Amino acid sequence: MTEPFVIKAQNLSKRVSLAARATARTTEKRSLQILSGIDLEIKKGDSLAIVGRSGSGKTTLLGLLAGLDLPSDGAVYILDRNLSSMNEDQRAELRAQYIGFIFQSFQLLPSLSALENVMLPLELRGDKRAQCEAGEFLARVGLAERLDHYPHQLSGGEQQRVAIARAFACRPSILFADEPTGNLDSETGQQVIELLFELNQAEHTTLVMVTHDDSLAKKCKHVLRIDGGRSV
Amino acid sequence: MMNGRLIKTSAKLLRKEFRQRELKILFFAALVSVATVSLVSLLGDHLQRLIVHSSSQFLAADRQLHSPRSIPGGWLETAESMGIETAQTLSFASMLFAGEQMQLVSVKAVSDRYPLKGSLETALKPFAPSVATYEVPAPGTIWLNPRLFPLLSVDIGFVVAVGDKDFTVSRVLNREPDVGFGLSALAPRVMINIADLNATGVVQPGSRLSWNYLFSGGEGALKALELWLKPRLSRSHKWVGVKEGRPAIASSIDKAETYLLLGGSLAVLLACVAIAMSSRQFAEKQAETVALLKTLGLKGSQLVAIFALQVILLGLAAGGLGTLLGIGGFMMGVSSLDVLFPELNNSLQWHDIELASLFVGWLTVAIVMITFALPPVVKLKAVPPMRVLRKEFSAGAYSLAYNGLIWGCGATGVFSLLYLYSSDWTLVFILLLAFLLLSLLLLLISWFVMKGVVKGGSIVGVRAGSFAQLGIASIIRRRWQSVFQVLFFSLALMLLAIIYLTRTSLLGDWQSQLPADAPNHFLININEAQVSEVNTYFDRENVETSGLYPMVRGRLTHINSMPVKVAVSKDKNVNALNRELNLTWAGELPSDNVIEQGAWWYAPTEQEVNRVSVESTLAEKLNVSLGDHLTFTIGDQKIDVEIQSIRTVEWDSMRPNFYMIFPEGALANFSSSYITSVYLNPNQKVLLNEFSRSFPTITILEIDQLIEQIQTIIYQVSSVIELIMYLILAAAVLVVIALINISMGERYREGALLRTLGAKSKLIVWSQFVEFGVIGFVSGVVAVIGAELVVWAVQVKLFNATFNWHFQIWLWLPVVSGLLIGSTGFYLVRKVTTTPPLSILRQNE
Repeated sequence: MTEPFVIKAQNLSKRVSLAARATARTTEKRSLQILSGIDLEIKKGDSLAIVGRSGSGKTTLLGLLAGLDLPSDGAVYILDRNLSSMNEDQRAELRAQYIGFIFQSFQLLPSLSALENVMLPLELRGDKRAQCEAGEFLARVGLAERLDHYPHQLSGGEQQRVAIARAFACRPSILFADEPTGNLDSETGQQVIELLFELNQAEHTTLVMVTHDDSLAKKCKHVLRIDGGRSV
Repeated sequence: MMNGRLIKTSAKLLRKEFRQRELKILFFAALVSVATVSLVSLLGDHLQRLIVHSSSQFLAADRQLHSPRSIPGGWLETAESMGIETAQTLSFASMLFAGEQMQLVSVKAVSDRYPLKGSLETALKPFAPSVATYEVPAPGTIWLNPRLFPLLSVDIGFVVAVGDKDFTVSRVLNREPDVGFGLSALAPRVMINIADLNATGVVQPGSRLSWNYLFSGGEGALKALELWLKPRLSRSHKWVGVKEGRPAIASSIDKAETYLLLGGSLAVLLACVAIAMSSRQFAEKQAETVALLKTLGLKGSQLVAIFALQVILLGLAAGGLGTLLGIGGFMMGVSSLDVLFPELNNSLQWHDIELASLFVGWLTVAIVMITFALPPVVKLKAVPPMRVLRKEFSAGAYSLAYNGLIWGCGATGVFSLLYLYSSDWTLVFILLLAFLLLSLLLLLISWFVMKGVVKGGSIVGVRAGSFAQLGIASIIRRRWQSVFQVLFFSLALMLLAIIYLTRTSLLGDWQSQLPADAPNHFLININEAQVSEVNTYFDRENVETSGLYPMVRGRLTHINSMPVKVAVSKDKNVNALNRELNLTWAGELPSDNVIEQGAWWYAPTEQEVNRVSVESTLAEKLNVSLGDHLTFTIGDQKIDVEIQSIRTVEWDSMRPNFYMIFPEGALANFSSSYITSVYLNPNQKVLLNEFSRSFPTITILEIDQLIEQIQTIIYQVSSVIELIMYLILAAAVLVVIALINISMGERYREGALLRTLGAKSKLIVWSQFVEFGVIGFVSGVVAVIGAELVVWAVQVKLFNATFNWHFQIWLWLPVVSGLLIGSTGFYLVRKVTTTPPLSILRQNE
């Protein structure tokens, strides 16, 4: 039996408007085509690396696939649900139930400790065991001794581990990672990536990752190359 | 939308993020608003209680009804049935007989409950110290004014007669609470029990009597009585309430209350500016957090709920703490005010605090938070979740409609607050219009001054050294931001300066008009034969008089042969036409009079005696000018005189002053008495006893206590007003910090960048000091210009007072504001020197 598609993109395009330019005769409306005609399908449990040069449209594609932004043309389906036909509240609900994120800049709340950062999404969904589960995940990422430390007291690698713990604590079906090692040195990045894949395997999460690092991309089951907004 | 976990998350985030400067400013600005309003409201209520108390003492009751005849008995019964206490007094002139001697006296017959408020002052010997007395003469006894004892050669225990009844003199009557002051001749007072009235046989049909009915009780009952009585009263009745009872004191306390209210409103408006700025900044800083929370699955409405709840929680905390601070300030203020009215007794109790007064504070924080703090927070809903991946994604610039909403909310908030405090739409509109015009004026001045600074400073900066150059360059680079900073700083400083100047000016002006040795006793009813003796007496005692002025009573009847009631419109309400005037003559122009039009007379000829000099405000009301003719009736005679000069008079000089002055000889045919005023220090007051014994027919009006009380009121109330000034100062400081804070993020980045390029920390922080110091100095200059303009308008146009420049603030305000604002900028930006540049730059990626 064929595994169902978790994420499906059909003829995905994204244009952005630029400031109008006035010429001698007319005022031209200008736009920039960021993505054109992207198609992809990701099955449950698969991992996909989106690679390309800086400015190729990778992060834009990630945003569209995660429902953080809407395409200009085409459609994105998550678990058979068309994101374009949903309003923002419905997409938020979808994210709450199925999606986790890891960001290049970690995106931890500076006023919350490591434990509190991981607890946050659990508390928001009313998990009564939030503190316990958050503590467990932080232990799994090797930060059992740093629960009460704040982001400014942690190194880059440690902050990313906290972010990974936060992402996995909610047990998402899909994990989107945007350049997870982009702000880390190679050794720390390597450690973080190993941790990420280890947890991904253990939790059977579908992983979509943006990276410009080919060696990292090879760790994923599938690779999608983007160049000039098109898949190559 | 709002459930337990959202509330928990909201409270947790608020607690954790309270370290953010924007939240602190928001909280403290709300706190200042509540504390100010609570304080002003509580003080206002207390001041009104003081007016009521003071007036009640003066009326000997809470209300009086004056009547030329006795009122129906049913009226008093109705009052009693409403739970109101009543008393009666009846005053009339009569002869008092003591053996062969007799004297015209003013008899006051009083009922047993008199006085309902306050007390009499009596003694057991003439000229002995008084004691407060709460009883009235027993039937068959009489209390006499001290002057009557030497006059009639009587003493305590002697028998005197009024009409057909004999009375035993049992006490000396020194003072009654409801006697009032007046310069008309006062016959010496005697007091008897009203039960003895009929036995005197003096009161007959047609007798000229003055009935006073006194009422005392709860405010609600008194208002009900007034409503019941009004339709039954005729034009000859007069109902006297609290404000009419003590107009001078009530008026000054009313003015103090208005001053408090205005000062409080200014503090609140400043706090609103700080709240608006800091909440907008807080919202902008939350954009990333909002985007992150959206990726975690929160909906827009839930996010708004989280941040709105934070605003509400801050408001509640500010409301609670602000109320406590307001009560604390009130207790402090009241203890100084109550020195004025010791008989009000007791220190303030908790149950004396009106809950309604505290409610105003809570209402203020609700209005302020809803209209100023919430709108930017609501905008957070529009932050797109994509912002977590791309910083260029934002909620979008504030649309015209949204800006309109924000401004509309702010304006509604301001209108609501000002109306809440003043209950007067006209005052609200005038205040706001004045505020807007002033802001525009300040903006213009700021722009021009900053243009000059930019032009001149770039030269000075190059020469002065690199941190000065950097500071000036920063001003030039942020020209419009600097202009707006100057506008808001100067607005805050100007408001502070206005409050300070008005208070200092009022005190100073009152003091300069009333020097310490201004006359504090008036002597009237001096007959011509006594003039030289009185002068000799005071010369011997080394007491200077303000001169003895003759006085003749006359009534103005015609202006240019036209009856005054026709010549002068009733609307002008000229009191001088409804009574006799005190007319005098003089060869020399009195020292505190200044001729405005015409010329004074020197050695007038016989033809020139029919002239008069008129006081300027009366001349304006009567619409008369030089050459007009005035006709006076004196006794049964008429005299017609021509206006030769119009002069200004210093009515507050405590010297005898007159609306009409004639040349010497003009009124020689009329019998006159003389008046003078003297200054007696406390040690010299004992002279009054000897003087009274030597000149028993001369009436002495002791106004030293009144002057002292007014002086005390001014000083005590001003100390209360100082509390408000500190709150305004606190609000102004918050505005300053909020303004500086707006550009802090940008300054941190610039500082970090400069450090990575090799600039020393000292260069960076001192350049900030220069930048803010210059802006602060310029703001001080603009504030001084604005403050002088406003004070000029208020003093000259509103109060018809003289305007004096306040040169002292021209120097210290710009310098102090330059140092203060420069130091604040220096302090706030010092973090950039202690934090590694890389971490600052990374934070702001």
